[in-house]
Parts: sequence; C-alpha cells; structure tokens
Amino acid sequence: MRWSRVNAILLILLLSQIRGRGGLSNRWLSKPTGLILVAAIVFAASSSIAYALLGVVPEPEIAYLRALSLQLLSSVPLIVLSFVVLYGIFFVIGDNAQYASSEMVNYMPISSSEYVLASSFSTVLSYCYVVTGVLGVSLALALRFGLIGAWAVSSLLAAFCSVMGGFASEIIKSIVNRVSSTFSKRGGRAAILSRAVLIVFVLALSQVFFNPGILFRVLESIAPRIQELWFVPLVWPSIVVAEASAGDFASAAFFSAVTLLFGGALMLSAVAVRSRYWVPVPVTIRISHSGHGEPGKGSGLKTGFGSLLFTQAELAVISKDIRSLARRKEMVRFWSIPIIMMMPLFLTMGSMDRYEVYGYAGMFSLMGTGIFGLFLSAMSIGQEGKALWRIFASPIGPESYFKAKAILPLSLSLVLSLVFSGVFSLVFNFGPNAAASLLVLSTAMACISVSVGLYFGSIYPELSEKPRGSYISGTGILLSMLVLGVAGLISASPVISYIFMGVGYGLFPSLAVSLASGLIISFIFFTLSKRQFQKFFAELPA
Amino acid sequence: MVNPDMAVAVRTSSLTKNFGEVRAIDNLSLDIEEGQVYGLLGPNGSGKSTLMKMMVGLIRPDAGEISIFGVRPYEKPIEVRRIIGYVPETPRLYDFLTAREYLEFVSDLYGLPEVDKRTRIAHFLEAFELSGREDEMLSGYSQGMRQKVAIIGALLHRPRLLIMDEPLNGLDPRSAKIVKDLLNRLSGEGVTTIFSTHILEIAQAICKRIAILYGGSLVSEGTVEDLKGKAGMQGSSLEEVFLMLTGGADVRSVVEELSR
Ligand SMILES: Nc1ncnc2c1ncn2[C@@H]1O[C@H](COP(=O)(O)OP(=O)(O)O)[C@@H](O)[C@H]1O
Ligand SMILES: [Mg+2]
Repeated sequence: MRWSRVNAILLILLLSQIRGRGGLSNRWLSKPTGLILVAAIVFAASSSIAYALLGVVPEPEIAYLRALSLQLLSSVPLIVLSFVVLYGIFFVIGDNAQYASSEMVNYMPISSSEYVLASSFSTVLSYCYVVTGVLGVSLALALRFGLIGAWAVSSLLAAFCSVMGGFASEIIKSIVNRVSSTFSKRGGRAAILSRAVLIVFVLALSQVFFNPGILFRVLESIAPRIQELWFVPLVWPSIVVAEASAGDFASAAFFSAVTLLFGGALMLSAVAVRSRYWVPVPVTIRISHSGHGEPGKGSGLKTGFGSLLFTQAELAVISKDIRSLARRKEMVRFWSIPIIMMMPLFLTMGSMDRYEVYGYAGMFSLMGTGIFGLFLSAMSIGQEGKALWRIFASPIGPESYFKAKAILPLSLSLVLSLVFSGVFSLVFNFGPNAAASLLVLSTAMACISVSVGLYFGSIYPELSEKPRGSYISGTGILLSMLVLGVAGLISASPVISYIFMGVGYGLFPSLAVSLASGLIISFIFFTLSKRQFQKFFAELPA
Repeated sequence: MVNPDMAVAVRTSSLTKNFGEVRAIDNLSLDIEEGQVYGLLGPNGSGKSTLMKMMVGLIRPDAGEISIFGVRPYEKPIEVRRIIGYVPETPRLYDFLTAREYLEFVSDLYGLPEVDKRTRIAHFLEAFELSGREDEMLSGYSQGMRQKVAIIGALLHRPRLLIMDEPLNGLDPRSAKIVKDLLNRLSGEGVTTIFSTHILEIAQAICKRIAILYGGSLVSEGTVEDLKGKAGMQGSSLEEVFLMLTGGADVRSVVEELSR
C-alpha cells in the first residue's frame, strides 16, 4: 500500500465523478482542497441559516424540536451513512459509472486495497458538502438547545460513518458489477426493469432524507427505542450518542469500539470483494425480440388503433421514445415524480384540516403533472443527441416528427393527471365537486406543461451529450418553468379563487373558465412549437 | 418530381458554403452520373463531408445550386431523402436500442412493409456477420460494429443513391472487403454510390470516377487515367497525383521536420 498511489487514483476518480455529474468542469473544484473548501462554506452557511431560522420558529414548534433534538443528533451518523450509501448506489446504476472507470485496476500496477481506499474517499469527498450541510444544521440545533457535547460526539461519528458509507458503496459497486453482468446475460428486460425500479426507489428514499416532515415522523417512531436495536450495526453510532449524553460512558465506549471494528470489517470486505471480482465483465444487454418471425405481432402500438392515427414513421419515433423512457437513466428518473409528489402528503395528512388537504392535493397534483409533462416534452428533441442525423436524413417531415414528439408526453401526462386526481380523491375521500376540480385542473396542467415544454425544448435543445445529458439548455429550462408557472396560475386561478376566496359565480363556471383558458394556452404553445419544429428542421445543428 | 430517366444523379453548379470565415465549399460545379461508384478525395477539411451533407439536404448552400436527380434537396428534402441512403462520418446510433430495434426503426422511417423489413434486416445482418448479436444493445457494440449497423441502415430501403462519408472507417479488412464488393454489386444494379475516403488504394480499386477536392474547390475530376493525364503525370501513381494536386508532392520537408 502506497499513499501516494492512493492519492493519485483518488484525484482521477474525483475528476471523473465530478465531471460525470456535469456542470462543474472547473479543475479547481475537482480537487480535494477545493471540495473541502466548498464543504466548509456549506457548513458555515447551513449552520448560520439554520440558527437564524430557529430564532424565528414559534414556541410550540420549538418545544417539539427540543424534545426531539437529542434523538435528531443521535440519528445524524445514521443519516449520513445512509446518504453516502444511497448515492454510492445511485452512482453505480447511473450511466456515469462508465466515466469513473474501475477498469484501471486491471491494467495498472494498483492493488485492490489502494483502489478501494481511493474510491471510497472519492465517494466521501465528492458528497462531503452534503454531510457538512447536515452537520451544520445539527450544530444550530445543538447550540439552540445546549447539546454541544452530544453534537461533537455525533459529528465525529458522522464523519466516520461517511467513510463507512464509502466502503459500503464499494461493496455494493463490486457486487452490482458482478450481478448486473450475470443479469444481463439472462434477460435484458429484467435488468432494465430492476434498474428502473432501483432508480425510482432510491430517488423516493432520498426524498425522505430531504423532507424534514417525513424525517421527523420516522424518527419519532424509531428513535426512542433505538437501544432495542442494539444488534443492528448501523444504529451503533446512534446508541453511542444517546449513551454518552445520558452519561453512560462505559456503554458509549463499548459501542464506539464495535463501531470502529465494524468500519474495519467493512473495509476488509470491500477489499475482498473488489479483488474477488477483479475483472469486470463487459456488460452486454440482450433484449429478446418480441414477435420475432410473426408479422403483425409487433408492439401493440403498430397494429390496431395506432396505425389509424399515425403513420409508420410516426409510430417508429414514438416507440423509440418509449424505449428511451424505459431504458435511459436520465429518463427513468422522471418515473419517480408521482411517488415523490404523493409521499409527503400521505405521510403528513393526519395533521391537516380539510382546506389544507384540498390545497396540498391540488398543489402536488399540479406540480407533479406539470413537472412531469414539462420535462418529458422539453427533452423530446434534445434526447436524440448526436443521433439526430438519423431523423434528419430520413423521409420524415417536421409535422410528422412534431406529432410523434407531442403525443407521447401528452398522453403520459394526461394519464398522470388522472392518477393524481384519482388517487388523491380516493385516499382523501373527496366529494364529487372536489374530485372534479382536481381532475379538470390537472388535465389542463398536463396540456399546458407539454405544450410549453415542446416549445422551449425545440428552441433550446441540448444535443451535445455532455457526460450527463440534460437534453435542454439551462436557459431553456428556466424560461420554460417560468412560463409554465405563469400559465398554470392563469389557468388555475378561477377555480382557486372560487374555492379558497369565494370569488366567482360558482364552481362549475369557474372550472369551465379554467379548462378553457388552459386549453387556449396549450393551443397557442402547440402552434408555436409546431412552427418552431419547422424552423428547427431547416438545417441539422452542428 | 424525381425523374427516373435522368442520367445525372447529382449536379452542383457554382455551389458555395461558408461557416463563418471558413469557406468549406468554394464555387463547386460537378456532375455525377447515375449508376457509378464515385469517389470524393481530398485532404482533411477539404469539404467532402460538407458537400455530402448538402446532397442529403442537411445543410443549405449559401450560393449556387445542387440537385439530386433534378430535385433540390433543401427545397424538397423528404422527396430526396426517400431515395438516398446516407452514412455520416462518425455515425451515432441510439445506444439504448438493440441493433435489430435500430434497424427496424430505420425501416419504419422509410415505410418498409413488415415482411420486407424482417427479411432485409436478417439478410444484411447475415451479410455483415452480425447475426447472433442483433439483440444486444448498441451501447455494447464496438466502433466497427456500429459502423456496420449504420451502413445497413443506409441500405435497407433500396436507395437509388448511396452517400457514404468515409464508410470504411473503423472496419476491419474483412468487413471493408464486404462493403467494397457490395458497392460493386449495387453499381451493377444501377445504384449510384458516392463515397469519400482518404485511402487512395480503395478509391483506385472501386471508383469509376474520382473528384479531388482541395480547400472546397474541385481540383481535378475523372477516371484515374484522366486524373493522371490532366496532371501530366501518366507514369505516376494516384498517390503522387493526389499529393501534387493538394499542396505539393514534396512532403520531404515535413518528414524531416517530424523526425528532427
Ligand atoms: N459545422 C461547422 N461549423 C464550422 N465549420 C465547419 C463546420 N463543418 C465543417 N466546417 C469547416 O469546413 C471545412 C470543411 O470541412 P469538412 O467538409 O468536414 O471537410 P472534410 O470532410 O473534407 O474533412 C473545414 O475547414 C471545417 O473546419
Ligand atoms: Mg469529413
């Protein structure tokens, strides 16, 4: 083991991870010192902002926070550990993984322990600003409630836990590497599906970590009984914090020791798995062909109904885009939007009155449908990337292409608006009026968001395929969100002002006005987009 | 309308294209007759790719005319593209599709009937020795395999005009031979093929006629013998003619510089 070598590998891995994440191509920011500086700034900012916020929180909430504060502090190591592992996993399932090559272990004079150390540290370092952010917030809590001792212990453990998280991600990476190549040989569909499910799961779970409302609820139920879970290594750090602040230092020392041992064991296993699965198997994903040799038994789209409304070329573009949605990580993440939008409401609905429930159900349905429709349609051109020449060199015109690009996001967003309004109406037991309002508003939102997204997606497509495709330029996404926000408000305002302020001539007239204005706005943007598609088709962008 | 009796497949007259300050194509006039294998030669940056893109209607000329079987590609792109098969310089495919899915996608874009589609895809996969790999995602394909898939994609719809930008890039000798034989056979069936290369032996071996571009202009055109004759270098090789026409045959000073 040579530290200089570990350091060299670490630098390369960091660079590729951060480049892979996109955005920061700044050399300086890809260096450990740069990252640590950023982390320090985040720490200072988060602690002072959180402390300032705690100063203005009203008394009943403060009492509630005070009661929970020790439990919060003791869960910080666990939160940090889970976070690092979560993003370790996320990194593996992402397409980014190819940029952080683990293959160098094969042809360079590097030992597996050197590689594992470097790789774990790079994971830790590249997310360390999140960890310091959490520590900053917990410092604010500790200062406010006089728990500095507990904070120090918990932060020390959190730092150690982030390294343990790095080792754990290494283990997961090695195993996933092996499993996925075995998987892929069996059946590509299963591999693709499990990857999609995993991405949605991870995104939904990370939502829990960043949603204080949910986090508190989970903590409330788990934290008081944390000692009962003494046999779970992951909660050992939390037990240390709890015991130390309760004054039981012998017990705290014992659990610190086993935590250290556990970390060491994780590291050894990481090295062992890495050297066992030393040679990564190249991943070939095979997808068995449906309906091979039987003319007509293609995908359902191409027979029946679809062929009445669309040409063969249009259907081809649509089914290609469906595959893109199912198979590309950048697209798959959008499937988590419904869950992310619904989960917070379900987990916190107990404490709300009727109007609050209406308000939140409406807000989440509209936001969920809007974001989904906007992103899906805004990426419709950009997702072609450098393969766009294939479309341009083919006998398909802008009108056809526009039709194909509009119909998929539109139908998916309409389905989603149905799902949102249906699920919320059922779960919250809405009456017919409330359910109808929700349905109308979200349907209008689906149309608006797709039309706005298509428009800006065709003005500002991002075809360059940077390491992580965003498919629409930053300006494009900002403008489109702005316009969508305004358009959505305009369309929803008749209903909102009637329900919450009693302004207007009754629910149904307001609904009709909302729907009509939504459809008019959509029509305008669809027309504009169609024209923009024609302009776009004039020359293949370089 | 595309005139089936037209003997000229591609005609350009005083064609010019600028990219900012760079003049990529400079006042180019050229006729390419139907049914031949036609080679575009020229050093890097001489405008070959730009010219081919204008044939497909991917970029618009700044001045002059270009027509494909009498039709201007930038005016009626769909009509022209229906009869063209195009392989760009470094073809990017959709990585998330399998080779078969990609080729079916392409067939559908050209409106091939279902049965035709399946048999032709199977036939070409076989010919290019990709059978058995067709259900793998293209993300796992090597550069050469992707090139083959792109070439198949240009052939599926039985184009009258094949435009291939350095099609042999990344192909192993065996696959290159397959492409060369294929081009010869297609020429026999009346298909016009225009391809660019900087491998002179290949151009000499399979092209009936050759155009040499330099700095966006046509410096010479004709059969290999014509080229030698026009340059007054009958006894020389095509390489010598090419080097003479595109910046001087004397590369010794460069070589000396390099080996210093
Ligand atoms: N999209 C573009 N933007 C700017 N310059 C370009 C573009 N495409 C080509 N060029 C320039 O035009 C000239 C001809 O390029 P190209 O047609 O690709 O040459 P060749 O294919 O013969 O190597 C070169 O100088 C090149 O830099
Ligand atoms: Mg070129």
